[in-house]
Amino acid sequence: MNLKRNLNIIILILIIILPLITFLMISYFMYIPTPLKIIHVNPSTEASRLPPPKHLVQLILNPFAVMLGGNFSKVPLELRALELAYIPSNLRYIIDRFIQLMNDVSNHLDSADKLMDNAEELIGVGRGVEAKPLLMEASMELASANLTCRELRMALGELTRSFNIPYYDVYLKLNELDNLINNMYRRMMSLLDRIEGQGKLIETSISIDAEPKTSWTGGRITVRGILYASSEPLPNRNVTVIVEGLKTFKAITCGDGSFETKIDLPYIYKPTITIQAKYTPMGIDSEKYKPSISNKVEINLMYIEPKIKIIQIPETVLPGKTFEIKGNIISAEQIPYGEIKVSWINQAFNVKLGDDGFFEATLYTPGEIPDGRYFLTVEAPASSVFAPAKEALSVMVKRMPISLSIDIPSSTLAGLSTTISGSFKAGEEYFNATVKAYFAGNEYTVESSGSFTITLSIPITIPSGYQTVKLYITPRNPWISEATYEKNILVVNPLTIIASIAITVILTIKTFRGRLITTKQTMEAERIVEYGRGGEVRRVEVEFTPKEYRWLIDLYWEAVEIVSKMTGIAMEPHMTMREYLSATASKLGKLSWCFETLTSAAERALYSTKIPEPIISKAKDALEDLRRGA
Amino acid sequence: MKLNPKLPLIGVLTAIAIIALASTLLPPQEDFNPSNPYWNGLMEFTKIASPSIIDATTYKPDPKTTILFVIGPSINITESRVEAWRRYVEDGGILVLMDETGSINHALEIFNIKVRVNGHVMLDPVFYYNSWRIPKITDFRDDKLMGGIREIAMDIPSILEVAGEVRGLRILAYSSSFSFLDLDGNGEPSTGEPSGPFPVAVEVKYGGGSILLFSDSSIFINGVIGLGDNIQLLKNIMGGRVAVIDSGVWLKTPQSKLREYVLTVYKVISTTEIKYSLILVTVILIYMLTGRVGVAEVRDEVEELMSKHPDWDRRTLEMLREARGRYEQ
Repeated sequence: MNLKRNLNIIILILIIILPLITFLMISYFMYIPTPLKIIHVNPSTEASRLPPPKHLVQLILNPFAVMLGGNFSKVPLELRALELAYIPSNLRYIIDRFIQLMNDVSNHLDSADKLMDNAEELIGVGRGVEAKPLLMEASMELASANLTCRELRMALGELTRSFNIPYYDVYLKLNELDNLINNMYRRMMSLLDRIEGQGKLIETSISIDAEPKTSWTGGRITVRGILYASSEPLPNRNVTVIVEGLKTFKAITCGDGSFETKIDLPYIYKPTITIQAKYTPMGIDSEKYKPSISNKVEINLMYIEPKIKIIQIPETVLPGKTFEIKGNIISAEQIPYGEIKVSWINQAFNVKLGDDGFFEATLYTPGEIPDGRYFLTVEAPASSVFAPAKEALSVMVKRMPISLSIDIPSSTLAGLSTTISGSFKAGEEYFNATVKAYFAGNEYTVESSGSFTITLSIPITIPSGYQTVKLYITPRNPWISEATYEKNILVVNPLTIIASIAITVILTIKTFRGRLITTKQTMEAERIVEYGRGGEVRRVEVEFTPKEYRWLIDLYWEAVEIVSKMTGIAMEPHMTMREYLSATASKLGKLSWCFETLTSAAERALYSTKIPEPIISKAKDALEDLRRGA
Repeated sequence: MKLNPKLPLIGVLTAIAIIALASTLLPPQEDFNPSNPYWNGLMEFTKIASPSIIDATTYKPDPKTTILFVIGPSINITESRVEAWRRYVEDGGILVLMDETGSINHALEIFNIKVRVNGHVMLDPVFYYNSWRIPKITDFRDDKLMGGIREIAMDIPSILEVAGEVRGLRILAYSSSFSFLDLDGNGEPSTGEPSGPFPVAVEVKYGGGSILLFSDSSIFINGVIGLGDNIQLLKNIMGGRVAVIDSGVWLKTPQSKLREYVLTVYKVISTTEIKYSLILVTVILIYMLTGRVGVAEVRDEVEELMSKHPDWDRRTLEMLREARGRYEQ
């Protein structure tokens, strides 16, 4: 028994394991060729490789080139390229050091350059004393740049060795950088010299006044002034008059050092402007006199400021449609121009002005722009004393919303079709639109002019549950907004429900029917046994009898009851069938063969599984005879 | 000795059950599989984008709210598939095509977009991650889609060829000026090989939607998505839409097919009616099994008789049973 059981287990394990192994072999070891080969690699397993030295040289020399060109602000951008280049992590610190030093040098030189520019400007107007501290600061910056440059030289030495870069190109650039620092140093020295030289020169002073102090823009004013050198007038010298720091006019001093010039002011639309005069010694004077700058004189400007007023404009406008605006220009004087410029969503055009300054324009809003606020601008140009005017208004572009009325059933059956219907309008307007419905992976499209009906076919494969139907209404007219609608429909699939319920019911019936039958048979057997002997033994005998012969036991016990009545001998619990037969045989007389036949048949039913047909028929006859005999 | 005839059936059923379970639990290894956790899979992409996996020829995603990814086709693309994509884009969908082999060119031809994937490998000897084959892209030309991105990593990409003026086309990203097209496949820049910058990502407005074309299918695989700002790129191009992957362009291995079947069965089982029916069936089966065990336990007839008649001879009863057995045989 054990051997058989073990063999069964082994075979079972083999049956399970073999397909498993096959599956694993197929999944993990068999190569399945694909018609199109995807090309990629695992980045983490790729071997690290350095960029070619010639490319690295380029990335290193580029920042040098912009620095040497004096474009210090561009150096970090060039260094960024080097930062992005692939550098293995073990060499990254070398590049990081180089980048840091290059940035430092560049910052120092940039600061020094700006300080020297400011100083030079001050020296140019004879304010060398104020320029001196700036130059001192510039000197410190240059010294720092020089020191950093030495460190940079060492860092570049390591960089070229580590990356196998030819040192010569880098060496040349380093020398050029040294030259740049030297040149800047020389410039600083020359500026200091100029300050020093100015100390030995004769101080000059210039003062001015202008009349009138209030003028129309573009009007003419007179600027008068006087130039002195150590309290002595300086005649026949060129003086520059600067208006608002931009426009310059020339004047020549007279014998008493005074000068006068009439200036046509530019058309500036500012309430106040400043006038200043500057003396810059030229030629031989530059070795004798210091330059100087005058006091500032303020001039109040008058000009006309027209106001643009938009009188009529819709609160919201519709895409794909036109709208009208009306407005006017209010001005103290008659406006000298006849057109203004109106700009609206990437369009600009000129609009004619009426005599009274009124204007009106019809504007088109492109259909494709999304809803939102857009600026409408109206601009009037500047013209002589008329300042330019501008009015900008934020206009809301908004599509008309759709009002929907949709009728969707709340539930439906799978395998059938269901209809959804609806209507839509924008305000009171009916319009043409494309209606699309998405349901259970299918798309349904209908063209509609206000109302629609869509028949959805519900696939029989859909399980029961909620499914979402989505509706999109896309109007043809651009001024109407799109609308969406979503609703869940309960889909009931009778097929799956019936199938699953049927399986459950069948299984239940099968299970419990077996139990019921067993119980019924047991009860029947017990009932039969009750004829003769007390419960326990009979039940056992019935259970040991094949089902198809249990009726024979029934016959036997009926016979025992008849025999017991006929003979007056009861079958005791300890008696076997044979004992009871021999006990009653003599009293039964002729009928004893009947009881013997029944006993023999019952024994066969109890102790065998096959009873020949003649014995069964004989047993039946025997019982009939017994009944008659009784 | 006679073997139990039910054994092979039990064995095969058990094996099928274990294989089904294993195929679902064991991670797939093929390229771009959304459940593949290895370097060539899209598991990280799936975690970030939570995409739905569909076949575009049989299911049309909602174009207004979704973005459809076509990543690394490994089988030839059919016209019906391209037609499905075209309808999707025309209705306002965003289609993301990612390919370096040139297999997507057939679709581009049908779309009548004059942009092609070159198909040759583009290498960058200066801006890369570890190897020239993993170029770093740093030149971006569009603030909307490339906003917040400093660099993206590609994995053996190709380049895009734009034929003249293409209406509605915007080039989104270029490779560096050091990059080159490896025509001879020797992995080194050779004489006559074109050098960059090359377009590697473009956007083309089409119908009511747009097509985003990348000359590399591997930007979002597990091994590459973590490099550079690739995750940010994914978020930018999704722009709040629901991600959908067209899996109909991939050749499936037996394991992934089986896995799909098992998951489909699981999905079916998860439906309301099947789920509750199964619970009932399980309860009944448990009842049946426990019932049978009970019957089997009292089935030894000799023991039964001995318990009823302790005075009877056990040996005789056993002999009787054996004799009956012989008779039955």
